[in-house]
Amino acid sequence: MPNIKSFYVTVLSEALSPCEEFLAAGTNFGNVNIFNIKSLYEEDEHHGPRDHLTLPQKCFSVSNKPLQAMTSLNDNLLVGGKNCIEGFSWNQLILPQNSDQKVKSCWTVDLRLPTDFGTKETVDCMINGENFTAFAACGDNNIHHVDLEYGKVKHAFSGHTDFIHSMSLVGNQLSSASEDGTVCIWDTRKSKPVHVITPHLESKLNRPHLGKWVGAVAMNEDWLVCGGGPHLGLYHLRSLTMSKVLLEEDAHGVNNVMFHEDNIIVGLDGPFVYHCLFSGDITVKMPTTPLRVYSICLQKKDTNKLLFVGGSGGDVDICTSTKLQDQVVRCLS
Amino acid sequence: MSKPSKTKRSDSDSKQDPKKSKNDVSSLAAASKNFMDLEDKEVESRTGENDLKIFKETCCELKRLMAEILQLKISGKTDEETNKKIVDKRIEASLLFVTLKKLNRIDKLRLKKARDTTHDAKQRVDTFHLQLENLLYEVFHLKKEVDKCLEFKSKDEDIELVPVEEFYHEAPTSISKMELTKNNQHKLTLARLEWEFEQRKRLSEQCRSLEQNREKASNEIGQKQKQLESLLPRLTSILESTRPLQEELDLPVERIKFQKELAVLLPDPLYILYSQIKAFIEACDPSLQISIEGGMEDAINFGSKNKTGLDEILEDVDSAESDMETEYETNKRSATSNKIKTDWQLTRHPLRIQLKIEGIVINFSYLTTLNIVTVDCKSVQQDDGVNQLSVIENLLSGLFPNDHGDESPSWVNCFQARSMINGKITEQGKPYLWAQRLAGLDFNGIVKSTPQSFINTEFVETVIHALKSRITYRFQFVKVLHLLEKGELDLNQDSNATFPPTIYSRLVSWTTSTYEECLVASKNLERLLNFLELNPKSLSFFKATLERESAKLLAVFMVPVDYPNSTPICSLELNWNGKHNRENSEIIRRIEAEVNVPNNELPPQHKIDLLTVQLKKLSLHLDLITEIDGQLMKKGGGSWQSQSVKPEFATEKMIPQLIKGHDRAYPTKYDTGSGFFLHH
Repeated sequence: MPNIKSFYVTVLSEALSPCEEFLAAGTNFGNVNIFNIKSLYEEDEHHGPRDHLTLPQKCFSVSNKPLQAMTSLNDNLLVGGKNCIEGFSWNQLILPQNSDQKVKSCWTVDLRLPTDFGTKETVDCMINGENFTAFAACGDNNIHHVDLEYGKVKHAFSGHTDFIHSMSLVGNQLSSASEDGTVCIWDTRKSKPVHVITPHLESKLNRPHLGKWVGAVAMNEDWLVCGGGPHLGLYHLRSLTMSKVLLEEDAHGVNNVMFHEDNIIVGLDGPFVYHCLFSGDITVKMPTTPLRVYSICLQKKDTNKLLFVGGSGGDVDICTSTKLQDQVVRCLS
Repeated sequence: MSKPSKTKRSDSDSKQDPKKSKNDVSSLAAASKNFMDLEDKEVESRTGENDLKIFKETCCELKRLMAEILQLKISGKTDEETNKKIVDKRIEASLLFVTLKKLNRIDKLRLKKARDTTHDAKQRVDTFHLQLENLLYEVFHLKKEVDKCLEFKSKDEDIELVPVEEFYHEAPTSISKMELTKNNQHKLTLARLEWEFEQRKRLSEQCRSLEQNREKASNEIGQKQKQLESLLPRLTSILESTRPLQEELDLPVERIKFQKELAVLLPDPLYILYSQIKAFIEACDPSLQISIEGGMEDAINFGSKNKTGLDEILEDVDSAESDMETEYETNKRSATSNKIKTDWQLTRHPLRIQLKIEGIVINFSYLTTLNIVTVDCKSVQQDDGVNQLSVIENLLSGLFPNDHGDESPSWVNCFQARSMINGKITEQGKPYLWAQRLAGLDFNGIVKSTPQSFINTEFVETVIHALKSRITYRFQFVKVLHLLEKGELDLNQDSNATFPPTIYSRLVSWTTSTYEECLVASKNLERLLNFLELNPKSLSFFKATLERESAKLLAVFMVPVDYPNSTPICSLELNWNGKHNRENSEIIRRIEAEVNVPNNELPPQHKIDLLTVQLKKLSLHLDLITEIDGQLMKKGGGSWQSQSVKPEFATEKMIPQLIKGHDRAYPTKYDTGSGFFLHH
C-alpha cells in the first residue's frame, strides 16, 4: 500500500541543476526530491521498465516545515530552511542514491530572524542575486540580501506588512509581490521601496472574493506583470500605470508568472498553465495534473525547453517546448 | 551234311502231314506237340556258334551255285548239257534254302527260350528285393521302439530325495540295505523313495497334531473374549448410574469422552485444525473454548451418503445424455442437474469445529467436494444493545494481508468454487487462507498467495493472537461507534489536552454506509482509494456530518478491518457558501491530510480512540476554517463569505498568522502551552 502521505504532497519549489539534467522539488513535508530528467528523456534501448524513472532517484529531508524557497546558484542548490539558507552541492545530489549515506548540506547561512512561535523563521521566497548573493524573503516580511560567500546579510528591505509570495530582479531593480496586496519595487541599494503598486485598487483587476494578495510578479526592462487574488495585470515600468488586464477568463487566482521570449507563462491557483502574449491573447491553455500550480521552472539552455509544473499533489508535469504536456514524475514525500 | 538232309526230309514230311490229316485234328495236335518237343531238344543240343557256321557255309555254297548258274547263263550255251547243269545246280541251291529255313526256325526258338530264361531271372530278383525292403522296415521299427523305451520317465524323478550320504546315515538298515543297494542303482532309488515316504508320513502326522493344538488355543481365546464382551454392558450401566453424580459435581468426564469420539469422525483437515488449536489452548490459553459440533450419527452416515450422492449425479448426467428426445426436456434436465451439482459442490461435512473467543463463536466447516475449510462467526454477547451486525461484519476479513476469503484458496477448484461466491457465501462461511493453513491444506504449495506469516512454525499462535486482538478491538470499536452515533466525542484526559477546551462544531450524524453509497456521495473517494490501492472489501464505510451553524462538513470515513492498527481514512466535503473539497480547495486538502496522515501515535490503551480523535480534529478544523475565513474577509484576503455583509463567526481562537506560504496554508497545529494555532 502506498504511503498515504504521498497522496497529500504539495510541490512548493523547484530548481534545476546547472547541467539542467536534474530537477529538485521541495515539498510541504520539508523534503527535497531529486529527479533524473536526462534518463527520462534518453531513448531506452532495452525497453526495460521505466516506472522507476518517474520516481525520485533521491529524497531527503531538509526541514519539518514546508520548503517554500529553492534556487540553483552556480554548483549549489540553495534551500530555505528554518531561520537559515542551506547549501547543497549538485555534484553530490546527482549521484545515485546511497542508502547508508545521508544527504547533508555543505554550508548554512544563518539569517538571524526573530523567533516568534516559529512563524517568522521561514524563508518564503528566494531568488539569485549577482556575485554569489541571494535575495531571501523571510517570515519577518522583509527581504534579505544575503552574501553567500561570507554568510552574512548584506542588506534588508523592509516595507511589506505580510509575507512575500514572489520576487523578480532586473539589474538593480527588484520587485516583490506580497500577501498584503502590494508589489514593491526596490532599488537594491536602498532599503525602502522606490515604488509601491497596489493591484487590488485597480477596479479592473480587483477580485474581492479571491482577496487582495499578489501571488506572482515578473519583470523585464520595460514591463512588470503581477497577479494573485486580483487579475493578472501588465504594468508599464516607466509610467507605473496599468496598461492591460491579462487572462480575464481566469477564475482561480495567479500563483506564478514568468516571461519567456514573447510569451508570459502563468501558473494558476487551479489546474491550468496559460501562455499569453503582451496583447492579452491567450496562446496556450494547458490543463495540469497538479490541482493547483505552485511552482514552475523552465530549462534555459536545453533545446527541448522543458517546463516543469509542480503544485498540489505530488505530480510534476514535464512539458516539452514549454507547452506540450509530456511526462509526469511523482514526489514521494 | 547228312543231318540237314534228314531234317529236310522231316520238314517235307511235316509239310505233308497237316495236309493229309486235316480231318483228324487231335492226332495232328499230338503230333505237332511231339514235334515241338523234339525241336526243343534239338535247340538245346545245338549251339549258336555251330549254327552260325553252318549258316555261313550254306550261304557261301548258295553264292557259289548262284555264280555258276550265272556263268553258265552268261556263256550262252543253250545246249542240253548246260541246261541240265543249270537245273541241277538250281535244285542244289533250293535244297540249301531248306537248310536256311531250318536254321531260322531253330534260331527263333532259341531266342524265345533265352527270353523266357531272362524273364524268370528278373522275377526272382524282384522277389528278393521286396524281401530286403521288408527287413529294413522291421529294423527301423525296432530301433524306434528301443528309443521309446530309453526315453521313458518315471514319476519318482520329480520327488526330491535326500542326498545319498544323508540317506545312508539316517535311514535304518532295514530300509537302506547297504549291501544290496550299494551297487544297484535301481534298488538304491527304490530304497530312497521308501525312506522319503516314511518321513513324509511322519511329518504329516506332526502337522495334524499341531493344528489341533492351535484350534484348542483359539477356542480358549474366543471364550475369554466372550467373557470380556459381557463385561462392557455392565461397565456402561455403571457409568450411566454415575451420571447424576457427574452432573452434580460438574465433571467433564463424559463430555470429553464424547468429544473424543466425535474427533475420530472428523474429516482430516478439521481434525488437524482441532488438534492444533486444542493443543494450543491446553498449553497456552485456557480462556478459549473449542468443541466439535454436529450429530454423531450424521457423521457416521455421511461417508456412504456422500458417495451415493456422487453416483446419483453421474447417473443423472448419463440419463440426460441418453434420452435426448426433445430439446425442451434436455434443457430442463441439464438445468436441474446443474442445480444439483452446485448444491453437491457445497456439501458440508456434518461435523464442524466451534471456537469461542471472548463472546465470539467461530465455526470451521469443511466442504468435502471443494476440499476447503470455511469459517464463519457469530456473536453470543447480547448486552449493551450494541449493534450485533457491526461486530460480526468483516470481522475475519484481512486478518492477514490480502486474505478476504472471497475466492477459493486453491487454484484447483477456483472455477468450481465460483458458484459458491455467487450467493451462498454467507451461509457457508468464507474460505480464509489462514484457515486452510491451520487445517493442513496447503494444496501442495499451490495456495494462491502465501503471506509471509504462513511460513512461521508457530502459526497457530499467530492466528489465535490475531483473532483475539481483532475481536478485542472490534468490541471496543463497536462501543466507540455506539458513542459516535450519539454524537459524543469524549476522549480521555491525555488526548483531550491536545485540543482546545471549547469546540463549537458538533458531530451531528454518524451512520453506517456502503461503498456504493459513499461513491455516490463523494466523487473524490475513488481517486483516494485507487491511489492507496485499497480493497473496498477490507474497509467499513461510515458517513459523518459535522456542523457549525450553517457550515456543514460531510466526511466519508473508511475504517480498515484491522482498525486501530491501520488508520481510518476520510474524504471531506464542506458545504458552506458553496461546495469545497480536496479538488477545488487547498484548505480542505490540508485538513484531510492533517486527519489522514498519521502523525503521533496514541498510547496503546487509548489506541481505539483513534477514530474519535480524527473526528475531533475535524470539528476543530471546521471551527478554525470558519473563523479564519471570517478574519480573511475583514482583511481582504479572499473569503468564501464575500457575498455576505458580515462574517458569520466571531474570532475566538488565537491565531498569530492567518496565512502562510505560497500555498496560502491555514494554521493546523494547536499549541497546548500557549493556546495558539500555528503553522506546521
